[in-house]
Amino acid sequence: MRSNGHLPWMLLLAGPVAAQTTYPAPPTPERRMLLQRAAADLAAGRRAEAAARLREAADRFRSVRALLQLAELQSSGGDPRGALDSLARARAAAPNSEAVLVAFAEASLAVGASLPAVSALEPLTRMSPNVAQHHLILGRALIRAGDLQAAATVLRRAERLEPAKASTLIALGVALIGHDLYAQAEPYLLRGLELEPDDADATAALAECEVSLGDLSSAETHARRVLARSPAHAVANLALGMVLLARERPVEARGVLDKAAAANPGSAKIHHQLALTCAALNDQASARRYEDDARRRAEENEALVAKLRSEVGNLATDEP
Amino acid sequence: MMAGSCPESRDRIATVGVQRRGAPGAVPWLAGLLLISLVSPALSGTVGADLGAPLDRAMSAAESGLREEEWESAESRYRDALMEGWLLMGSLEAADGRLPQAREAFRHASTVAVETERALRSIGLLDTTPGAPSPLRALTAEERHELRARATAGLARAYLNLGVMQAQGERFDRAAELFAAAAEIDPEFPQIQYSLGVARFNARQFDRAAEPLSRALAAHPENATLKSMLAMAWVNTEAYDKAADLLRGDPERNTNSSLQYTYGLALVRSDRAAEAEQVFSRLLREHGDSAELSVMLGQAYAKEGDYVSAIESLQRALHLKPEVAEANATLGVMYLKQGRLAEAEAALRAEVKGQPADVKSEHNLATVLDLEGRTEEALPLLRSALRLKPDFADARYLLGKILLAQGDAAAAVEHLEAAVRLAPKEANTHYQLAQAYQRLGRAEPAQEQFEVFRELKEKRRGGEP
Repeated sequence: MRSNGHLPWMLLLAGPVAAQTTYPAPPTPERRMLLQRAAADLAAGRRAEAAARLREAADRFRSVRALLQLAELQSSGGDPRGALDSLARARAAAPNSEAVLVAFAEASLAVGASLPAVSALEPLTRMSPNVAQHHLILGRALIRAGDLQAAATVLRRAERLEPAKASTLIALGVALIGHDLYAQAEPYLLRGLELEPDDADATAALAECEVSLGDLSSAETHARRVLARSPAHAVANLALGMVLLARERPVEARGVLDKAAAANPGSAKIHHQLALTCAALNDQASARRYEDDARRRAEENEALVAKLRSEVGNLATDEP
Repeated sequence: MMAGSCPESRDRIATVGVQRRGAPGAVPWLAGLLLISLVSPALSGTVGADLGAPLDRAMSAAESGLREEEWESAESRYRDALMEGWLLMGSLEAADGRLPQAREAFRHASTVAVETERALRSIGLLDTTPGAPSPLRALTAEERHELRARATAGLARAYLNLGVMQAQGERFDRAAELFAAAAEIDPEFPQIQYSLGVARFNARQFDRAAEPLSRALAAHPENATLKSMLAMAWVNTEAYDKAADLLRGDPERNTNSSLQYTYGLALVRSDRAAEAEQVFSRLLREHGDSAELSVMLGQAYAKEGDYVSAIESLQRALHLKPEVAEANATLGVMYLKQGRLAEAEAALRAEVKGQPADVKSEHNLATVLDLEGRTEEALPLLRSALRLKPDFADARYLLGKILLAQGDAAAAVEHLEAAVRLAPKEANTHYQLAQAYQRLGRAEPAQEQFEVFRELKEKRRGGEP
């Protein structure tokens, strides 16, 4: 299907339709004036004045609209905590609003609070189950929260709803890698890269897949391609480290894995690879230390996932 | 194929205020704790008071949000209203002993808002004590009927207004879902068929738009917008005859150029090219040069086999508006039919460049390249077309045929099987599939496909005069 030139003709036809139609009365003048003045302040670059007026509208009239605008202002002004506070108030006033829930989730993710983000997004996917974007954001939040199994479930739903969206395919590939389903992850990443060939995260994830599936040559090519642009990329360094270790070049592997660990100190997988590398270098003490680190990080992640599931339920098992 | 959004129509999907029914008198509840718990948590707080009050309060709060232009608040309160409405419906169904319906209503209640607790508790109560008494049974049949009507009206209105808000944000597919929910609850609800039809039309769900648009038009036969939209929905679902029939006897066509245009479009697509040519020629006379009209006129000439006039019209269209849709596509197809493959390729490439979502032109270009023996170039075009339209039988067929010719019988089978499912009466597809099976050593299904191919060929020969 596609549009063609007939449409403007169609528009000539629009005419009055319904006698029953009623429009709501206009808003209270004072509230409207406050919002208009805030908009004018903002247009003139008077951000502080705009924020003050929006706060006043929120306080005096319980305006959710004002709170959303205030949060946007705070967020773009480098105050993510303030934005989150405003959105928490908006959420209390309009708990079922889609715009509020999405904004709250995004603000939560911006301050690294993935659990509240998931708790806002989960009901959204229930209320609007056919909106792929909601499942995608929830999937990403679950990846951030460390629940990769649930993320994969949710992202599969997003992929069913919108099969040719690069960001969904890539996120799904990353989630599947997270619980070692490399062969399943690879086709999603390849399809994602067909659509977004320059996506560094997807290329790095593909490299990780390839090294795990034994295709060292492709893995090295892809990892190095990412590192040429982003030398500190955690996953690309991890993949390259794994390639080098598999090629029995542990000294070089150690160097790139150290970079990976510096970029993502919370990754159990990177620490496990460092342990293997140290073992290959006969540095048993460091190997043990890294293995302990890896175990501790894995346990911390499991605890976070358990907490998440106790608060919002196990999203990995509620396949419709 | 044609499609498009219709923003002016969108404006007319309007918030509908329905007169609130008079609240039924307070019902003298004398229910004990057990009875309260069996009604459902939804109602347990309101026993002794008006059972419809929570729904009314939520609706009132939502409409207050609308008045204040606080859309987020309004949306949130309408969702509360949906939850209250479904809880009330569930309780009424349970009181009438219709437990599956009650469960379904409570299930709805558990999906429309953030809060799920009361709905889930209600489902739990249904499971544990399904036959327990309910205070709702103390209501007279008339009172219960009135309460049900109130819940129905509230639910329909809440879904409708939530749909309106989605439509205002140009999220037509979601608006359509909400309107469909309202229509399912009460198909006669004011404006609902109109809103559903317009939303589906704008969401390009033309096949599903036709029914509500027909119903809306039956209620308002004088509405030219509806008539044109319905005709366009039929044109877009290739029901050209229906569209032409709808508009043929319409006197407004003579004064309304949009209707006339749609009529001409339906004619040209239903192979009534001579009539179409008259319509478009007249429109051109009355409205001057228009690239779109010239394309249509060119298509009408092409259908009549007057390629010289067709090419002239189409080139005029391209001169007026180089990016106009379908001009190059039509030229490309004409050149292809004439065996002028290089010109066909150039025209179709121009169309694909200007209209990247035009899967038919991608397929036609792939056909040209296949005929030129450049199958490697044809493959990405076919894959791209299938990404956009996975049920495109012709593209599946051609892709399968090329893959088979390249020796990849396994991949070919996948596409040819899909093509057979999509277009089971295409003899050539069965033939190619038989060949692919044979190549894979699958003699039995190959034989079956050859049989189908022969039968279809014989039928076609028998049907010919």
